[in-house]
Amino acid sequence: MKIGFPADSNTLDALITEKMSNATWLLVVDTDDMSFEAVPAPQMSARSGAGVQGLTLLLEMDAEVLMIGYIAPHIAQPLEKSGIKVITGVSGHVEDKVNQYAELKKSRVSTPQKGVARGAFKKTMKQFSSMLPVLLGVIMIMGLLQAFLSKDLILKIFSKNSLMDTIIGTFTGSIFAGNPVNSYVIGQSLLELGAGWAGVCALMFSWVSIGLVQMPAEAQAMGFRFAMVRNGAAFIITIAASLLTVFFAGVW
Amino acid sequence: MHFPKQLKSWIFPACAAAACIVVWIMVPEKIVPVLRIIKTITLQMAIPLLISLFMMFLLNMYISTASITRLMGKKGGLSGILFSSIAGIVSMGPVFAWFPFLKALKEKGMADVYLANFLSCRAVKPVLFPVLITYFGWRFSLVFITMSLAIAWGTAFIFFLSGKRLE
Repeated sequence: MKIGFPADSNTLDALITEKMSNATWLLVVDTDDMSFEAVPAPQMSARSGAGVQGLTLLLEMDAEVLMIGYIAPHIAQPLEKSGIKVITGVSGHVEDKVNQYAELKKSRVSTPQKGVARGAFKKTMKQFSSMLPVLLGVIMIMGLLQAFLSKDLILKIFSKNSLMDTIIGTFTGSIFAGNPVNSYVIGQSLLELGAGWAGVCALMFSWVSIGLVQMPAEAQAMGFRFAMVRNGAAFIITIAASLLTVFFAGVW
Repeated sequence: MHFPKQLKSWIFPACAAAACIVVWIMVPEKIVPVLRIIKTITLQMAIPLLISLFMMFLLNMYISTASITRLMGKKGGLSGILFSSIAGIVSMGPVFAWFPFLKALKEKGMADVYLANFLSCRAVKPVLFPVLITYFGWRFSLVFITMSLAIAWGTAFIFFLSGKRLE
């Protein structure tokens, strides 16, 4: 069940606005999984009829229920006639109202287990299929990069300067992915070939904790900002941790 | 109109496939190693991906948004760090096999800081400690494992601070 709200921000913590024309955002929340869509509300200053435009937007986003502080009866009636449930006098946070509505629904309707399993399966497939294209792209890019990045090439780009090697090692490790044991094997071979400990250590750390090539997939799943901040933070901390590791391990 | 949106998601893999074709034309001797690596990565991620899919199904079937929000929501606190750390440490295979599962958790209300902690804690692999010792000796291995956990929590902390700044 999808519930539409006029709200003051684009998160589930948003406050429901009294009128459609007061809203800065329109939210449609799916009660099954709390996933939601948010779009900026049409502004009153831009042109008149922002309320009706907002309602149209909510309907386009497949809202089946509308929760709002107040709506004029002549607008509510046609909505009710076309199967949209309108609940007025609502205030507070979006998330609370969705939970209350979902609980109320659950207590009234007992869904057969088979239907729930089918719904869960369909949802899982939908979530997975939205990720599939980008996963395929990431695998192909990794195949290309790893085929061209040989052990000799990695050794060539190490500079014998601990700080530079740490940055290079972090960058190189973040291109690879897979079993961490592979990074130990490559690390050991690089040490034998004369690479410094700091760079090797950074390569082993970043192998698992940073994913530059996988970033499109990470951004698709968790958002662009998430992927940027997480990988950026891990990059900086990996450099510091690599230098500290070689220092404390006595292999500087 | 959903068609353009679906098409948009295939632009990235189409570009990657085009890059493979360019390599095939320009450096034909490299295409076999490229395909071999793609096959290896695909096989490596098959089992973790199946586990991830199964867990997504269980999550969608049995776990309510309220439970996830309580344990690993914005106010998850120490329990959130604990659960996401353990989950990250025990998860296996390439990281991107877990993205669909993490996406499902995020949609269920898991806070970003715990998602970041899960991903970072994947670097901590106590089961590989004996292998690490064999290659690099016990002292380095001990410091390495400890620092792996420090990186994970440090990343989560920076994530937490960046989230606070935006609020």
